[in-house]
Amino acid sequence: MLTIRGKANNHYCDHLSRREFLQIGGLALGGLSLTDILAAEAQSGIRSSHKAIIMVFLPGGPPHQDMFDLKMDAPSEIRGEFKPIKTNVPGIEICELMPRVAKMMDKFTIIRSLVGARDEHDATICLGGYSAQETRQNHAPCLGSVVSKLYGAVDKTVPPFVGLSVKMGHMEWADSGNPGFLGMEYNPLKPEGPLMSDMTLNGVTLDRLSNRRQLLSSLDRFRKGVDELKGMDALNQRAFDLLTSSKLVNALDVTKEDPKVRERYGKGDNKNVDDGGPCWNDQFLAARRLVEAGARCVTLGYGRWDYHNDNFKQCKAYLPKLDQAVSALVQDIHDRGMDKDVSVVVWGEFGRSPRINKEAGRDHWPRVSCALLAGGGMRTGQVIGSTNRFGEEPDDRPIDYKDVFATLYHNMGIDINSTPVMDEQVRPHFLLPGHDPIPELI
Amino acid sequence: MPSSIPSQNIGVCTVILAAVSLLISSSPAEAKPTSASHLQVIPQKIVLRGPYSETRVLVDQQSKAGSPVEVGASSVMSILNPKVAVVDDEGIVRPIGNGKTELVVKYQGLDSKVPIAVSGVMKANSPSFLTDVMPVLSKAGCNQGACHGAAAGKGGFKLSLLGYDPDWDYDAITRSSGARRIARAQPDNSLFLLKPTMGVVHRGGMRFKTDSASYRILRDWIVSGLSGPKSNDPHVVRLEVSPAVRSLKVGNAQRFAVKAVYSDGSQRNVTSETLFSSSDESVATVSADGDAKVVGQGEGAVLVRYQSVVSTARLISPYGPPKTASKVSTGKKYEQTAQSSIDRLIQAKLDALGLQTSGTSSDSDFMRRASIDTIGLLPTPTETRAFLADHDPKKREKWVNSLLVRSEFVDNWSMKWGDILQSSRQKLSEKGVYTFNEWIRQSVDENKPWDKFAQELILAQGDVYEYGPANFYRTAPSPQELAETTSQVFMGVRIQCAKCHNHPYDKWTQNQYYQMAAFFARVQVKRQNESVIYLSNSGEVTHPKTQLAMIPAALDAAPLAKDYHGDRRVVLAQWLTSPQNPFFAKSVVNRVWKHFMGRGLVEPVDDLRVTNPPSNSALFDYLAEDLAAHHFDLKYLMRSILLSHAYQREARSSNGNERDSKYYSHFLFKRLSAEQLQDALTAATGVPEKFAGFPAGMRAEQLPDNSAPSYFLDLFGRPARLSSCACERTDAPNIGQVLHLMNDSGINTRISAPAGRVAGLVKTKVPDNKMVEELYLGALSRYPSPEESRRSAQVLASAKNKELAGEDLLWALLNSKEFLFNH
Repeated sequence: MLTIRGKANNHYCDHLSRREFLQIGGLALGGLSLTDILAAEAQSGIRSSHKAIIMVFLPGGPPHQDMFDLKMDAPSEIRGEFKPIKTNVPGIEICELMPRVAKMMDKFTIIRSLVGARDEHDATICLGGYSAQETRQNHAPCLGSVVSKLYGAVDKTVPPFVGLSVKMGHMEWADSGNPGFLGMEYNPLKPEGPLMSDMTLNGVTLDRLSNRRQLLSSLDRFRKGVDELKGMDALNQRAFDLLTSSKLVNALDVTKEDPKVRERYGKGDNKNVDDGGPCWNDQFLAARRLVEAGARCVTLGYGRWDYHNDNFKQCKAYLPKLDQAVSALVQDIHDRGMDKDVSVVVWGEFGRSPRINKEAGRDHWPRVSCALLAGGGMRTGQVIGSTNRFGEEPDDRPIDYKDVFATLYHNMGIDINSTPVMDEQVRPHFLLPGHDPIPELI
Repeated sequence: MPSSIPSQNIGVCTVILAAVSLLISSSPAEAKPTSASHLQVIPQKIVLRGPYSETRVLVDQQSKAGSPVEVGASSVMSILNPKVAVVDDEGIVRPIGNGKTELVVKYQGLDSKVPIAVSGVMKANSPSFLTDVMPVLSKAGCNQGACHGAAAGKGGFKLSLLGYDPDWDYDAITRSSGARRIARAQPDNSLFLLKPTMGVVHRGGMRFKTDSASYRILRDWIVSGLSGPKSNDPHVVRLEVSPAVRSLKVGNAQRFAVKAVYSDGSQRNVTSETLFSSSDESVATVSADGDAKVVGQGEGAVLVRYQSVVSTARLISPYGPPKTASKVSTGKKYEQTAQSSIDRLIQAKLDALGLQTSGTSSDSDFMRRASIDTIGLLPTPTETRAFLADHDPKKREKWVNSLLVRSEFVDNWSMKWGDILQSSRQKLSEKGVYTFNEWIRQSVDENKPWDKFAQELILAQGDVYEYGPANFYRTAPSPQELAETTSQVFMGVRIQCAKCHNHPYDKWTQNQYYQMAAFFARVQVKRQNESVIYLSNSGEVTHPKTQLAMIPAALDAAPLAKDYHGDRRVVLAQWLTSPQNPFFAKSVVNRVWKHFMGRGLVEPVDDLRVTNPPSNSALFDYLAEDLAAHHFDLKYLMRSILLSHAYQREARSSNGNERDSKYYSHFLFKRLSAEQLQDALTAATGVPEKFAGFPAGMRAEQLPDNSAPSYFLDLFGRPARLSSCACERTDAPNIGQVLHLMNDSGINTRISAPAGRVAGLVKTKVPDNKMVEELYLGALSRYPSPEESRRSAQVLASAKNKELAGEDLLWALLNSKEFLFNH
């Protein structure tokens, strides 16, 4: 396990990735060019092997007892309408509306005793482990920002942190992650708005752009011999690369994928569900493509799960879609040999009340909820924790959101507990003190 | 045993390589040091009193030519009678038994001996908690933020961060968790000793061995009865590092010895318990034990920390052969101006570092540079033509003088002060921003002395919608935040860390933090509509640990008299702006200096502390004193900088000074700020940008705050104005900026607008070379060179559509580094 450990000035003792090894090897052999190294990497399949996380947020707080923790022995006002089905792991049963996940349960871990939520309708806690309230006070950065800061980009034309959540009626659900005290530089790239429009040519043909580029390089007075500005030259080069053949734009374009694969994910719908997000299965595929292109963290918000009324009707409508998207993504990750490197987490900001209300809905329930985890080299095919017979509280092994984040950082090769994360004023912060990776998973 | 091979796990291949290189390079002259050299062992006499005393031995190789080189790490050291003392690989001599002996040092055929005298070692020794035990815990890293010093502790054991609270630590070690950590009957079975030596599982790993000095101290402490911290124990007041300054070459090593001086006047060698770090790892690296290695050129500081006290030593690694300081007359013979003093002090530093200067910038570069820095605008083509045609030898001075009285000066500098004073709608509401900005603009306009500026803010009260400076109190709503903001804005001192524990890289204590905050304890905001700042008759700031009301005291100043009943802020304002405050003048000097010169004498610009030494302290001291002597007249300071040779040097590096980015041997490239760049685009294209919510024609530099939605300004680093840290505004380039300049439809439209510069020139049918000239003057504030003129005119002449070709030419100029940067 490669691990970043704490040393005040951002030196990582034993952090030598395969990528670096290849570069060192290249130097030792008498100086391969960067292109050579990239080609060698592509050949050896190293490109897809960087550690990454895909975080699926279910806005509104999904009903844990109707998905992964069915309480068949509870009275009818608690039990709900759905039946459990067997999975391919003996002893683990989940909701009948998720047959695809059930068939590959050996590739998932369910946490049934997730605690630490607040009654807040924000994505924040699912992005960095701290509630919205806590984050307002400590300005803790989200995981994607921290990973961007500690690791930087894999590929210079693909940002390390991409947020796919679209605009939603309830804006707190559309949060893609906040860099907090790390500063704007570590914001997720959101492939929308001005940036996306800057990445495709605006009213200028490719020919004219290449004319302009020639003119620019022939006229620039500081084009040669100014060391300080070499970084700018590299940026210019990358910008032209992006404008002429955009890797990022390609990664986002799921039509470039084999249609069969896209069908397996189920394309979904890019229309928002009420004030929540869309059930847009294509985004799961885009997330995988982005990771392959070099992203380290991709976040997305899927559907709307705040079922104060018609809980069962809505579950019937949306759970099967989620089942398809999640199962396809995790299967795909395994098929491509990325399961040791890419973690997937699916969860919401809290659980839902055991008692079914008059509108056949369930209300907010921050005391316990569920999380679904896969990949990342974690031990899967297990259930961690349990709740009491009505699904009200953890019965054993309460797991905090922050514990899950400590685990996700661990999967990324970061010992977050003892790695100082520097803010803009170069003050060290220790994120998630007192929270360790979940031993059952590592 | 010390070894001459630096690394222990050296591979076979490396050894063979080393042997080969020896064969190649060994010429008789280089193989052995010249006979003229000899060893100088420091200290020349080792006296060890008491069982825990120690001394680090430094070995200087003195040769006739050049400065001495410390060779302790490669020397072989031994002690004649090992029953009296021992010496370890780090060159630290420790006592074993009372008596006398000698230390023998050998290095490359040279040797030297120094006497050792040991006394005061007894059978049973009783270490003191404060002076013996705590330093062991610090050095072993037990109380660091990543370990038991974390806010939540680690594994159920919590120590105060870097040992700032010895009482807490004593309690945690000896009493908490049912006193399970200490086994007095069987000291070696104490968890306190088993954990760090991995006698039982310890997630923090092995911290020291059972045969180490550290172990011995902790064990003796348990055996002798766990003496606790006493309030009258002497505390460390100062650290002395030797050598304090050393000039070395890349590849040289250097060891340091540290002596602590206590409040009772006693001294003690504390090298092995001192924490070492480097201020600039591109100049020198330093191991935790204090072995420094010079890895690059420049000047670096080695930072030492022992028991909450910090100090530094300097390492100088010249770029080229240093010059002996050029004799500049300090007498009355020549008129001494501020600018000549600046140049003299910079030259002295450059000479010491063996750095050459770049030449003087061209007239057009200077003119553009001074204009952007002073008023935030490009010079107009008319101004440029007139300036270049002027043959007055004093024309640069005339230009500077004219810039300092321009109305746009107010825009540029109000923007700067508005940033750090957090003038934003989010904090002050629209009305508040308006009055606050009016006051800032008025102050800049009348060149209000900086001390008066600070005093007005600190003493402000009244209706924030009528009296501008009162808004200062709404940007930081609590006494604690006001103390932080005031310290950072006006002193460049970041005391935030001391809110929860003593400052880990500075000298500020938690007490001092709350004493600072206590000045603001009685400032109130009228709750009704949050618009009136007033003082109440009561209100205190309490210390979070002791819950005691804090008596106000400025940093390192005497506390307020008990019978003082007036406005506490008056005392603070007086102290803040008095010449005795070492930070006030320096803080603003550093900000202004950085604004013009591209790099602060201290970086980050608002982080002045002992452990962050300036790149040229003589210059820094001079500028601060000179500003105070000139009644904090900022325009005076700006003028001095603008007229110095240092400011007027070429940006292009030459004569081997390209590696210098700290000592001002050449001008530093600076990217235009977001607002300056937006206004420069307006000037170059002839098409202004309209900001939603503000009148047409208002320039970016004139915006009162950041409320105008602008992707461009955000992308290029406009700050949110929610923090007093200058770091909030960033000029870091990123790919989004480059893409935007190249391809934004808005900018493309401005380039090709019918009312724009290109269309205008085509319409009036100016000749090609004239059109090129106009575009160059508009975007780059200079004439094109004959070659540029020829090539560009050719592009225009050969184009089917002259307008399109003109647009492409302007596009290329706007995307050039020359446009994007101030140079």
